[in-house]
Amino acid sequence: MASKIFDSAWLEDCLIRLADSIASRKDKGSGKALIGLCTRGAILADRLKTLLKDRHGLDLPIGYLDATLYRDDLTRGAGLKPVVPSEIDYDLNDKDIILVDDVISTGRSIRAAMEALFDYGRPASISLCVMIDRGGRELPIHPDYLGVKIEVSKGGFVRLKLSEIDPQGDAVFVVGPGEPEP
Amino acid sequence: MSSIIIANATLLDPSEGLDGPGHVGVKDGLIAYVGGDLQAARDAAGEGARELDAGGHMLTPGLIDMHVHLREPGNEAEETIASGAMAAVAGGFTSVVCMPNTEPAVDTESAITFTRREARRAGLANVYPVGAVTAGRKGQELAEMAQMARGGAVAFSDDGSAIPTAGLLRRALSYSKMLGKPILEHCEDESLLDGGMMDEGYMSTALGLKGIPDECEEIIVARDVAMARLTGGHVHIQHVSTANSVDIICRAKESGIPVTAEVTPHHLTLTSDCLKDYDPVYRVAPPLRADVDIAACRQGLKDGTIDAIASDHAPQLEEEKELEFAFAPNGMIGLETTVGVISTALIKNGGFTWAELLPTMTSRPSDILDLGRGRLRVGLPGDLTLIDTEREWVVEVDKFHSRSRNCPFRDWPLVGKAIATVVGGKLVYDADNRCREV
Amino acid sequence: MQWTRKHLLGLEELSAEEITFILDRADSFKEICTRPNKKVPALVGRTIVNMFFENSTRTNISFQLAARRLSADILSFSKAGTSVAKGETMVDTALNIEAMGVDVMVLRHGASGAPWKLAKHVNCAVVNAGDGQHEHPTQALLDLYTIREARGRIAGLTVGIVGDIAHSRVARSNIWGLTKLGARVLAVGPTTLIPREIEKMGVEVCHDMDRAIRECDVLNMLRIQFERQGGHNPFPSIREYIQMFGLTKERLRKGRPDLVVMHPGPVNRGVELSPEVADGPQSVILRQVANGLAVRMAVLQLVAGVE
Repeated sequence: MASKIFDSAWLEDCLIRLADSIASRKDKGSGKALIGLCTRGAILADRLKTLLKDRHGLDLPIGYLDATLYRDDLTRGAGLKPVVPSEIDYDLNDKDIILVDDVISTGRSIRAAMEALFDYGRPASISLCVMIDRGGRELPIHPDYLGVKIEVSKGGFVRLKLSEIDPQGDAVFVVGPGEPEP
Repeated sequence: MSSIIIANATLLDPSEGLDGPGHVGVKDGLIAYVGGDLQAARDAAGEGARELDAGGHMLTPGLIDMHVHLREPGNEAEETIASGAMAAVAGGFTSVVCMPNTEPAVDTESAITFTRREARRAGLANVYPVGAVTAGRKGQELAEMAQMARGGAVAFSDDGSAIPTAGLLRRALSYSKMLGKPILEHCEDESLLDGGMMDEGYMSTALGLKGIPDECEEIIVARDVAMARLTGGHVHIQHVSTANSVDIICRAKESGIPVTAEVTPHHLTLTSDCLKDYDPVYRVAPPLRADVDIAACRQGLKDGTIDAIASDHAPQLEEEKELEFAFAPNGMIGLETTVGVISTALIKNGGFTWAELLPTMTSRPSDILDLGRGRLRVGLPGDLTLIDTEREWVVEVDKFHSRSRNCPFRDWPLVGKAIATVVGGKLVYDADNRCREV
Repeated sequence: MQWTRKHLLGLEELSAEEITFILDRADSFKEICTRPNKKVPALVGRTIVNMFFENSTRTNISFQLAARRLSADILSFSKAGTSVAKGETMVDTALNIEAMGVDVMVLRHGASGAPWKLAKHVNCAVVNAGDGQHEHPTQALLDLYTIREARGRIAGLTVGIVGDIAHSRVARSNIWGLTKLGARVLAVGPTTLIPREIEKMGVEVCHDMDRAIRECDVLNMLRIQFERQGGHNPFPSIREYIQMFGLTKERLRKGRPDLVVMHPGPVNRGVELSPEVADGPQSVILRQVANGLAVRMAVLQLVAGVE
């Protein structure tokens, strides 16, 4: 059985800490902007935007990115699953982009996301905010803002569930090798 | 001359009232004994006759296919007279009637003579040539029909197309009547054909292939019946494919008009649904029709409206059948599958008996073309076919004796097969090596 | 769902779910087409060949541009007027091209069924860019996409396909797609241009253009294919055709104000459509062309990804 290791209270604390950390970082360009990676990164970006506004008075532009078409495993099956259109309605030239995702492992989807972002313009900087780092990196990519690091055994994985779309509500599960999805 | 004894057979020939165990003796090419006394059969066959033990299987008069294309001269890569004759005897046919639409067309006495000579050289089946009705099959001027008849043409036909006008057909029928030969008509109206490739209906609409309405055939069948009535000449309707055609022929026969008809195994078994994958092997003229047409053709066989089953064996190069459907030629081969398909689809699963259908491949075509064969009768040529009515086999086109492979029954499991064929007392095909020298 | 088909041959064989999957994916590509950088690396290193055995400008260009926006290498050849009896057959040509290492073949061919034949012989993916009078799946997909974009849905709409249904592959593919997605389809035209038993494809036949205009949410005006009539005129004169089935501004007023007018192109201006209608506010003809790019990107990206 998958084991639930965190609940909504943890997630809320974690997001507050990350929002505070983002707010405290000095801008390099013309201002910060959020990009959530579809699907759960987009929801987390929405929550961060709200926290940044409520706690720090920062009203950051936000966009949503599906980087499927930039993946390096596209012709090995990954391109046959559904994709959703990206929505980036602001000019990201000279912005300090904060890329938001739920879980990082190999780093390959972040690489794809960065490549996609450059097709929209030239940001001043890109930093990475993820809730969970489950290890297993295959590329030199590391989060600038991290919720928690959880090492899982080979073949296992971590699932972040969010109340907006998941029946389990806000929760983090560790799934061992061969165990069913929570 | 050849002599042979077929012993221990089940004799079947409804035209002679035969249906039961017996033996046949052939002496010097002619049937010399038919009956229940084996010694009498041996005596009749004489010294030195070979003997074949039929093992109780069904012995019939040698089968006749009154509609084949042997492609020689002109397209010897598809078939030759020799390869076609070999395919015939391997399929149980002792006589085939070959159509004149070769390249060039058989429209002179010398062309008729050529066909007969090549057939004699092959020494397998009897090959009866049909001469063209019009010079070069162009549908304009009559060919030298009397000279071709003298050379051995058994009938006349522009098969591949119909005689284009009623006026020309009238002249042809009236002339052929004088010669005592029938005209074999391929019934498709050119203006309704109009580039059509398959039966017109839902399938042609869905597949985006130009259709051919039933009426394309029926209008010519009706016209031909009218011209047969007018002239008294014998018209034979080839490869009937629609229910209405069967009906027109039935009514013509009731009125005493000299019309006969044939149907192919494929028009008795396959519908236009076969075309759903655009496989040109199912492209044929006239096209495969619907279930109601199959039912009507079968009923026509049952009630005698349709006289004969003929394969319309039409060899085509595999390369040509690999073309896009629109560019692929019409035609299917059938000599080596007719017995199995009829046995399986019509007799095993279709409610017919061998006694009902055998005349359509023996005595009836012989009568239509005045061949003097097709019966187990003393004095007639010793053409015999031995059929194992229960033999289970699968159609393997790569084992065909025909040079072509365009068979719509490819890979079909069948029940019933010709296992030995005797032509003029000579054993030309013996699948099971049943024969022993005496 | 996940896409599993190696070829896109026709809409008859696709499920409603598969059709919707392609349309949804086209949304993503349409977004990409609005960016300053309209190119994605989805098919880097892949090779696509346009094999056009029949003349076509817009479909050929649309596939070429779609392939380039996916970063694929594309080359295109046209060989109009197939001399098949002599010389190289389509399959021979295709096998030779495939031997050079091709991932997708886009085939336009004058013979119905040709893409199915090709798909049987080659190992690469095959996309049908129009076969004879049979199917033109990417055109129908872009038509469906455009209808969905203009009206927000397809199920429950009444769509009239007007004109030369008999010779139209666009009509057949549209009929399969529209009926699968729950639209009501009217096949509108003179009796001589409506093929036998088309009702079995799930459409209603209508010979009254004014009734069609009153009942339809969308009118897809087919091109009269003068070159495909085999030397016979299916109607006595163009004047008579226009009078009965041409879509004019006056006639269009009898329909609902948001009636959508489509045409797969190229338009015989003044025959199927009067110029004011073709260029008018209810016409989405140019949107169809733009959407065609997104739809073809989606199709190429999907078939190229199936092993």
